[in-house]
Amino acid sequence: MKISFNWLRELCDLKPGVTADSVAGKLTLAGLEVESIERRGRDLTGVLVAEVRAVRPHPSAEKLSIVRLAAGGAEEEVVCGAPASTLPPAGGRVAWAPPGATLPGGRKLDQREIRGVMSPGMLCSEVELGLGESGDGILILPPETPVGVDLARQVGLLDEVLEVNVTPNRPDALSHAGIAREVAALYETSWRLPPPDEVLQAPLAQGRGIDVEIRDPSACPRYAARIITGLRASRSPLALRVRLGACGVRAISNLVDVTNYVMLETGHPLHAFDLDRLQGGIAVRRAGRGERMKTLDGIDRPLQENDIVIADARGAIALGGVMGGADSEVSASTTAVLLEAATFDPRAVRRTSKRLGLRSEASHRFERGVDAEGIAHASRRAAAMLARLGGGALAGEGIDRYPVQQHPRRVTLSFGGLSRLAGFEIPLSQAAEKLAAIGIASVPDGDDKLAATVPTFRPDVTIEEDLVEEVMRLVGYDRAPARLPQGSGAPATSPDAPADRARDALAALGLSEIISWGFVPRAWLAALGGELESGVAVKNPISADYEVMRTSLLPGLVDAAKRNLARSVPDIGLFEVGPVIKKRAADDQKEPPTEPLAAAALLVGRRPGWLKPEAACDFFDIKRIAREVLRALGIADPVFTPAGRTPSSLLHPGAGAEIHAGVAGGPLVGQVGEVHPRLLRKLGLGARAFYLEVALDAVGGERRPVRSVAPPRFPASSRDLSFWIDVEVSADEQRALMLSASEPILRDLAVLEDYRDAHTVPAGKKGMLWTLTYRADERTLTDAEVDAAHARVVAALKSAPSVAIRQ
Amino acid sequence: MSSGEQAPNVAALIGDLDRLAGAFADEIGALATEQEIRLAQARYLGKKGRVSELMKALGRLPPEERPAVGEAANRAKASIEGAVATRLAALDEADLAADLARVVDVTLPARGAALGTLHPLTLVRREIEGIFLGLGFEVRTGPWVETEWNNFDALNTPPDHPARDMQDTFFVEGGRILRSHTSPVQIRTMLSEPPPIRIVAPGNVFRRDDDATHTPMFPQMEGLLVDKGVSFADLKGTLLYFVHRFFGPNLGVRLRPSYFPFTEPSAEVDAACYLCAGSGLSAGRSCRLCKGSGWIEIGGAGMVHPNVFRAVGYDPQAVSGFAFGMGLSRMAMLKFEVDDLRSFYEHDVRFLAQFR
Ligand SMILES: [Zn+2]
Repeated sequence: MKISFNWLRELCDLKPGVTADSVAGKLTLAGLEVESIERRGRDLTGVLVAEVRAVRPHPSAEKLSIVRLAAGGAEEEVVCGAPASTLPPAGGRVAWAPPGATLPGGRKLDQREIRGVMSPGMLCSEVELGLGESGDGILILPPETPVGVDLARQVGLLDEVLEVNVTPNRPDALSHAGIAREVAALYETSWRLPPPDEVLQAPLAQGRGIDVEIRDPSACPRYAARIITGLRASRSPLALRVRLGACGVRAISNLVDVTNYVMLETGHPLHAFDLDRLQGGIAVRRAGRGERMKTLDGIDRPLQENDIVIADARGAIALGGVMGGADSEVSASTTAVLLEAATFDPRAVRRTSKRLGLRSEASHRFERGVDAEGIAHASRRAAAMLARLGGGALAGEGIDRYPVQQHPRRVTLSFGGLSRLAGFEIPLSQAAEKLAAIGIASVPDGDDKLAATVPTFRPDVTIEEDLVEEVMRLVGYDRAPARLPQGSGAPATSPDAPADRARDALAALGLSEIISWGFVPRAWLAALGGELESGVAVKNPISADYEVMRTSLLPGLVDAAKRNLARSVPDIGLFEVGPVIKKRAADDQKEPPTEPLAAAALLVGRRPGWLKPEAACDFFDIKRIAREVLRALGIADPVFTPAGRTPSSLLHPGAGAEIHAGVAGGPLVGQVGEVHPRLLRKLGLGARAFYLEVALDAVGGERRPVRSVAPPRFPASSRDLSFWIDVEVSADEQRALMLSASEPILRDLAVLEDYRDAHTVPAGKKGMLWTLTYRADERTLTDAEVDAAHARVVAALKSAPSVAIRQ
Repeated sequence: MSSGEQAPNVAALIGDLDRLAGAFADEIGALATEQEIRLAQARYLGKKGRVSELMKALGRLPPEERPAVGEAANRAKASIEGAVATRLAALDEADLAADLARVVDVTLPARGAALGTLHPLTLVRREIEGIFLGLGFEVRTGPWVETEWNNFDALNTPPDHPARDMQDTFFVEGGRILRSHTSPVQIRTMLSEPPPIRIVAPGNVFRRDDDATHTPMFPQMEGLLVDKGVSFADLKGTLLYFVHRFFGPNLGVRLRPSYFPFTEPSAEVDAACYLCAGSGLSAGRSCRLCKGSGWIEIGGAGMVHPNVFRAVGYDPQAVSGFAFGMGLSRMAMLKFEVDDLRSFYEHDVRFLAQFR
C-alpha cells in the first residue's frame, strides 16, 4: 500500500518536525512495515505559479507567443511555444520555469533567445513537469492558485510515498485513514476522516429510481447505492491526479478517479455504473449455471455458481468485488451514475478473482474484509465528491440494504493472560489506553480484566491473544525482557544422523557436496527408465525444468558434472544426500509417496594427484568410496554382487554391482559402478562416470558400538600364491575356494594382482597373485606348520579344474 | 683331558690371544657390510672361532696359570667386540650421511585427494542445529510432500484465507502439496507426542518463486518450544542466545510486530548487523550489509496460536509455546558473504571448494 505523506498529514495532526522517515520507523516497529520511501518531485525545482498579465503573438513566428507574467516579483516576458489563442487571458495562472529551475530528466532552464526575443525560462506543459504521458498545451492552473509559490509544493508533487507492507490480517490498514489512525496512536495525537462535501441535493427525477435487492445476504451483507445526476466527465483537478499518481493509480476521468480516491482514503472500494445503461432494478446474487459476463477489460467470461454478480433486468453487470462489466461502464458521455458501496463475502471474492486471474485494488480489499459499518460514510463521501467535481447533484437519498448487521465484538483481556503471554507486566490501565488509541474501547471487568469492544474494522481481533498482540505492539515489543526458557529437553540423536555421517564420509573422501532441486525435468526420469521413470508430478510447475519430483539422485549429479565440464573443470567428484520421492503403486495413491533418504556420489575424469596425471578414475575408485561410506554407516563387510545378473538401467552391465549388507542375499543397501553409457548419452554427458548410491533408510543408521579386540600377540607368516584361473571366476569365488580348506590359522587373504596381459596370460585366463596370512593366537607358528597349512589351501584351490598354480 | 699331551706354553698362548685382536681389526677394516663384519666376528668369537680354538688349551694348564690366560681371552674378546661396534658405528654413520644427502623438492604438490567439502547450506544447518541442541532442542524432519491440512489448515490457515497468498504453493498429483514451510513438522510432532516439546526442524521447502532473490526450493529451519508458562520473553531470550552464538556476542535482537496465521503475537526477527555492530555505518559509509539500517532480517517468530494447539489436541489453557523460522540460505549468505543466492544451486566446484 502506497501512502502519501502529504495526504497522511492532512488526516493526522503531526507536529511540523515529524518526518516521513520517523513515521516509517514507528510504523515498522508497530507491525506495518515500511519497505521503502519514494521521494517524489525532487527533480522539479524552482518552478513557480505565475500570473498572466498579457499575451501577444511573437513578432517573427506565428506559432509562438510572448507572455508577460509575474510571479511575485517584477514582470517578465517569456516566449511560449503555444499560440496565443490557447493561452489563458490576463489573470490566468501558469507554471513558469525561470532560469535556474530544473525539470524532471535533469533539464535546467536558462535565459535564451528564441527567434530574436530573449526568454527567461519557459512555461511548462504537464508532460514537461512529469505529470503525465500526454497533455497538449501548457499547464493552466485554477485561477485561485496563489501566485509566486513553488509549484511542486503547491500541487502536492513534492511528497514522500511510504510503501507499507500490510499483512493480510490488517484490512483496516489498507487506506490513508487506517494508517492515520495507527500513526495518531503511535504519536499520541488525533486524526479524522474528512467529512463529505456539502453539495447540491436534487430530487430524484421520475423513473430514475432504482431498487436494490440482496438475494443472498451471505454473499453481500450490505449494499448501498446512490444516484448522482447532471454530471460531466472531465479530467480531475491536478492536485487529485497528483495524489492518485503518488499512490500508483492512473488518473482516468473525474467519475472514475473519485471512486479510487475515496478507496485510497477510506479503504472502501466503490464502483460507478453508468445509470443510463442500467435496466430495471439491481439484484445481488450468486451467478447462475452457464451465466456469462463481459468484464471491463472486454473479455467475455464464463461464471461459476459461487461467483457473486450484480445484475440488472438484462443480466450480470458486474462481478461483485472483483470487476465491473463492460456494458455498464462509465464513459466520456456519462451524465448520471449509480455509485455502489458494498461489502462482499471475502472467500467468494477470493475464489473468483483467483480463478479468473483478476486481482485488483478492490478484490485485494474485499478478500481481506471490508468494514460494513464504514459503507455509509464512504458512499456519502464519494457521492458528494462526484457531484462536486462533475458539476452534478445527489439525486434522492440513496438506498442502503444491510440485511446482515455487523456488530462490534466483545473480547476480554485479563491481566494474567497478558502477563503470561508477554512474559512481563503491563498494567491494564495502560493496555486500555493503548487499545483506545486504535479504536478499541474497553471497560474494567472486575479487578483484573478488561472488557474490550472491538470495532468491525478489525476483523482480525477475535480472541484474547489478539488483544495481547495489539497491546504489546503499541507498548513496543522491545519492552519484553529476554530470558532462556526454564527446564530442558532430553538430548536426542538427530534423525539426520546417518545422512550426516554419510556426508562427512563422502567429504572426507574428497568429494564436494551439492544440493540439487527436488523437482526435475520429466526427460531426466524418462532417461532412467524402469520404475524410476514414474515420478510424482507437480501440477503447477514454474517451468518444464521443475515438473516432476526426482526419483533418483543420479540425474542431478550428472547435470552438475555437465555444468562443471562446461566450465572446463574436467575432474569432478560430487555427492548429494537427500530424499528421493517414490510414487505409490496406482492402487495405493491414497497413501503419501515414500521419501527414502539416499546418499549418492559421482566421479568423472582423473584420479586426484600429479604423479600419474593421466590415470582415469575407474570402478575401484568409486568402490573405495562405497566401502568407506558404508563403513561409516556401520556396514563393515558389504558384499558386492555383479549387477549384470540383475540388469540395472543405471549401470554398465559389466561394471556395476549391487551392494548387500553382511552377506550375499542380505539387505540391498545400494549400488555402485560405471554409469550405463546409454544413460549418459540420454543425459548428455560425454565422459565416463562412476556412480554410488546408498539407501540410507535400508542401512538403518544405528551406529553400532565398537567392540574392540586386542591386537595379535604372536607374529604372522605370509605366503604368496600365484595362479592362472578362468576369467569368469571372481575374486570372491577364489577366496571361497581357498577358505574351503577351513584352515584355522589362515587369517587373511588379499589380492595383490589381477593381470590379463594377452601376451603372457593364456586365452580365457587371468593371472592372480594373492598373499595369504597365517597366524595363531597362542603361539608363534613354525615354518613347517605354515607350509603344511598353505599346501592344504593350495590343494583346495586346485580342486577347481580351471586353476593352474604358477611358481 | 688326555694326560699324554704336553702342557701348552702360557706365555705363547697369551701372546696368541693378544695378537688375535689386532688381526681382527685388520680384517674388518676392509669389510663394508654388517653381514661380513658379523661373519668375521663369528670366525673369531664363535663356538668354533679362533678364540675358542686357543682356549681349548686352557684345560691342560695348571690351575694357577689359568686366570692369566682367561684374562687375555677376555681382553681379546672385548677388543674384538669393541672393533665390531666401532666399525658398525662408522658404517652406520656413512649410511646416514648418504641418506642425509637426499634432497626432495618440497614445493612439489602433495599426493592424493584433497578433503572434499560440505555444502555451505549443510554447514549452516549444522551450526544452527548445534546451537539449539545445546539448549535441549531435538532435531526433527518431515516429508516434502505434505497434506494441505498439515501445511495450512492445522496452522490456522483455512482454505481461501488470504494468508495462503503469502506462500505460493506447488500442488502435486494425489491431492497433496509440496510443503511451503517447515511448520508442518510442528504439527506432525505435536500430533505424535505430548508436551513438553522442544524441536528444531530443518529442511527444504517449496514455493512458486524463481528470480534473483528466490529459488523454488530453499532450506528453512523451524523451531518450536511448548511447555507450561512459556512467554514472549522466552522467545526473545532464545533468539538472542541464537544470535550471540551464530553472529557474535553482544549483538542485539529486535522483534517487530508482524503476522503469521499460526502465531499470536507474531514478530519479524532482526539481528543487529554484525558487520557494523548495529550502527548502520561501516568505514564511515552506509553499511553495505544492512543498507544502513543497523539490522538484518533473519526470520519470523511468535507465540503459538491457540487454534494450532486445538488442531493437534493440546489444551491452550494448559500450555503455551513459541515457534520461529528462518531461511538457511539467508543465514549462509550472511555467514559466508555470498552475494548471489543462485551460487548455492549451480554446483560450481570452484565455488563449493571454498567451504573446507
Ligand atoms: Zn550493517
